[in-house]
Amino acid sequence: MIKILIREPLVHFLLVGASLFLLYQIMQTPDGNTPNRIVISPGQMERMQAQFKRTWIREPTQEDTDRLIKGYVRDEVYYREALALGLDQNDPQVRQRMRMKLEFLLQDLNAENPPSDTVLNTFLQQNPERFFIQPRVSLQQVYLSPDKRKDFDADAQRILKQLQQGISAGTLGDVSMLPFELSKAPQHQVRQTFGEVFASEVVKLPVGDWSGPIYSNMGVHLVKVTAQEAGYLPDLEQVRQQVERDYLAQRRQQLKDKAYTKLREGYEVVIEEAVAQKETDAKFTGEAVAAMQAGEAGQK
Amino acid sequence: MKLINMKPVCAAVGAALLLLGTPVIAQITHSTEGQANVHRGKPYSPYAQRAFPTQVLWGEAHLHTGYSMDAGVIGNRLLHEEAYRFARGEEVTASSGQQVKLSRPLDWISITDHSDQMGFVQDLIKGDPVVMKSEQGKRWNAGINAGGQEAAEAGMDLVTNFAQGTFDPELIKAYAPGSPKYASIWEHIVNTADAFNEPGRFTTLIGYEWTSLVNGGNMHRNVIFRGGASKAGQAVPMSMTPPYGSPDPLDLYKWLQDYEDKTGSQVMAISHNGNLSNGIMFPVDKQYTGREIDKKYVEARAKWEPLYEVTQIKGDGEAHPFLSPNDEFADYYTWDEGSLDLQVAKTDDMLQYEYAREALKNGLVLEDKLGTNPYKFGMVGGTDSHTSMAATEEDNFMGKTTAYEASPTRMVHPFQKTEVGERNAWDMQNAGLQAVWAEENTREAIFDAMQRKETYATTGSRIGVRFFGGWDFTVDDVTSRQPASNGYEKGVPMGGDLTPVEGKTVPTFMVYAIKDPLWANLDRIQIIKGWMDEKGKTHEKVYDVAWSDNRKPDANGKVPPVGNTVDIKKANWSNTIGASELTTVWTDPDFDASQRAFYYARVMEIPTPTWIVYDALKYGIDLPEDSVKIAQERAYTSPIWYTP
Repeated sequence: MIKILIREPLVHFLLVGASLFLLYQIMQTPDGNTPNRIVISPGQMERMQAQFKRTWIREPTQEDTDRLIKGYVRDEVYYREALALGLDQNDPQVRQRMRMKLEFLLQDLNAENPPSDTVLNTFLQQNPERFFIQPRVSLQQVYLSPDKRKDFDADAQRILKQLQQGISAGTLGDVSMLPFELSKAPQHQVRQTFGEVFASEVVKLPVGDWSGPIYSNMGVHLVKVTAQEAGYLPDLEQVRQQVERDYLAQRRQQLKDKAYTKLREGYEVVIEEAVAQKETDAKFTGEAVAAMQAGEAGQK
Repeated sequence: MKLINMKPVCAAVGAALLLLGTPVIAQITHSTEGQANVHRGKPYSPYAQRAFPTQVLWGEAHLHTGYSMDAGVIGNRLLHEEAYRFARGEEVTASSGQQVKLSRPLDWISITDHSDQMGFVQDLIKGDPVVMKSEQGKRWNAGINAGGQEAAEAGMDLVTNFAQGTFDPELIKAYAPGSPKYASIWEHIVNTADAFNEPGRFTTLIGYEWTSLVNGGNMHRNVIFRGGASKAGQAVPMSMTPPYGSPDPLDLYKWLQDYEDKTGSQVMAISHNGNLSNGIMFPVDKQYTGREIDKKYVEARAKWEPLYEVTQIKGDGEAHPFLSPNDEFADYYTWDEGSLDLQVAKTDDMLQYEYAREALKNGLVLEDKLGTNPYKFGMVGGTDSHTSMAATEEDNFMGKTTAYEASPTRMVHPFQKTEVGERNAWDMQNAGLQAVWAEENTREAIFDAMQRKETYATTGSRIGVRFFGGWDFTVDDVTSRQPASNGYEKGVPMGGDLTPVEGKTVPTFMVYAIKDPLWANLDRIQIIKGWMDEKGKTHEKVYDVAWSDNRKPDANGKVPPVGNTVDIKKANWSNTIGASELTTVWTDPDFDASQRAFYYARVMEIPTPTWIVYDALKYGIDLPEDSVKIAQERAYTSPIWYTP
């Protein structure tokens, strides 16, 4: 099944998408419907109009409403005929949709109330790595391009002396797209800008005076670290939004897992011999491996 | 402390600068400290506010999660939360069970799930009267609101009742889909985006994909919102399915206009994968409906579609070798077998309506005819990954879908195979990224930069590029301390417009690029010019303008290949060729002031191994014989247009 989907993923889902959408809208069969009778109740009408309004942010005109009804009837006819033929069976998209829907329903029934400060504080303390404020560095740098200098080491020493004597950095070194200064840059930004080696070296430099040289795969740098801020674990107030977000995410995941375990308890799973053999064979194809891995990951 | 590959780099930038003429060489050799042009017109203080964008922000505006039906069915279980975490640089567990992390965070992202599944409904319990009428509902509500252990127990009680079929049917009914109380999944999406949006650090732009598909031809657009949940949440996304939606871009434009009128906020659309549209992405005469391309179409398209996604996993769409036979780099991850679904084969006559460069050219013709250029777009890259993971590094590729997340067998399975043709898994391009020159990392600043097309695309690595056009640029501007300051002062940035200026005869372009600090050196910068002659015929030309390693251009100005250091067995290369930075000011030698034209820069990296080479090394497997093992990653800037 997955193979087929991979071949033509979009066509499949687009064709099915529209009818699926309506499938969920009409799960409660309006009163008065019989197999050969399609009744559009005031409630159904209202729902279609509400959906229209939510899409287009305006009331539907009579023409729009006529189109909505036509579309609904067409979908309904196909939907009922398809159900009668059992086309909902063994369809991976229908199954996926059903699973997702139930997961959502269970999750939402377990709705989120705001957790207390105590709970959040505990969560913060238990997960310091998530909320840790990275060390930040402010620096200025003078760049020497090896392309433009015969003896960049000697030049570096000479220019370093000039810098230490107070000659303005804006007039020294070579032109480059590299920034002259970084202000309160977190570690990852230093790395993104100057590369790995520079980022690991710069934290070892003294604060307040020109030093170096530091080498990067761009060239040579003389650096004045103007401020080093150590990393720290912030107070709840500083990161409340993130802590709450992460806490709720974790709680939702736990509830989802528990809910699955609970539902799963109601089932006995039998793997019959011949079937088991087939599954082993199937393991040798990439799709099967990926699908199984995906299935397992989803059940965690 | 080691100086990595220093010597060749010397030669490289040196060579590039040699082009700039003797005065520069004098400047460089003496490396005189204290040039006259330092900080011209700007305060020395680096802390003083600058009135132009100084930051390049990396992100992408094309990512799918498990909410996208096709992604979910193939097994993607990660939703927006995980996608944001991953983009921010956190480690996540992929749907295939493996741990994945980016080498460095993205600055921003827009998740764009297909709108055709968003009708899916979701309900909330908030002590609503309907819930409270039910005994069970009242009990659970109390428990959940008590929090902690009690909430957990209430949750379990609820699930137990559900599993045993003892759930109050009235309660289910009240919250069942189709009930008047439904909220769409869209609300969840916009709220999650707000929760992860941290101005200054990580920006989440709200978005969705309008997945228009006609006979398998791709006309997809990503819709990107400037506002947050309070704005974007006012409407649910438009789908392509009637009666609520439509596959016609003209109807999408109407939706976008309605949205802006009602909310007072802004929105834009970014089309992608013209290469899989079978000739309907950039129409010149007629739309796919048969409707003539008229003023209405060109004006709406120009208004709503300022950008085009030029490169992504499903191929590169800048240029096609059939359309650009003289461009040796045009055949790059070319997907030209057929339509998106590979049901309808491609014919050569379709290509002119599919590729960015050709569309930019055709746009000049349409502007001449109808007064507006519908294809005046800037360039962006995206992944279109359906795994919730935007991972564009060749040694960190997580595939197009969950079925193609890293595994020993993924590369040998056909990606698509029909009677029309076959696309190999190794044809997947690990691309792309969108770089934005913005004043700050916020929704507003990024959206506005996108609106003015101050963006560029890369095929995945983080190449830095600046591109300015003006009438007076000289070598001094690019060798000054603040070339960008000169760029904005004397010209326009990428995405901008040039018009004739009294007394000026030839436009000049200042372009400079810096390598990805964690990846490969640069081979060359090219400027690609497209123009329309007096007969209404379009032309294009690729100029090599800056390059590494002291290479000598041939008689036609073409610079020979940079060489190749890739060791396929070891999945390695070395930065012993190429340059870490390239800069130049280029003057158009063939300029004709009476002709409409556009110019954009293409920055080429030196050859590096493709993702399958890393797969082969990590899994100890053999590479398919005819697979693409070496590639030159690149950046495409937004064009600058000249209009007489």
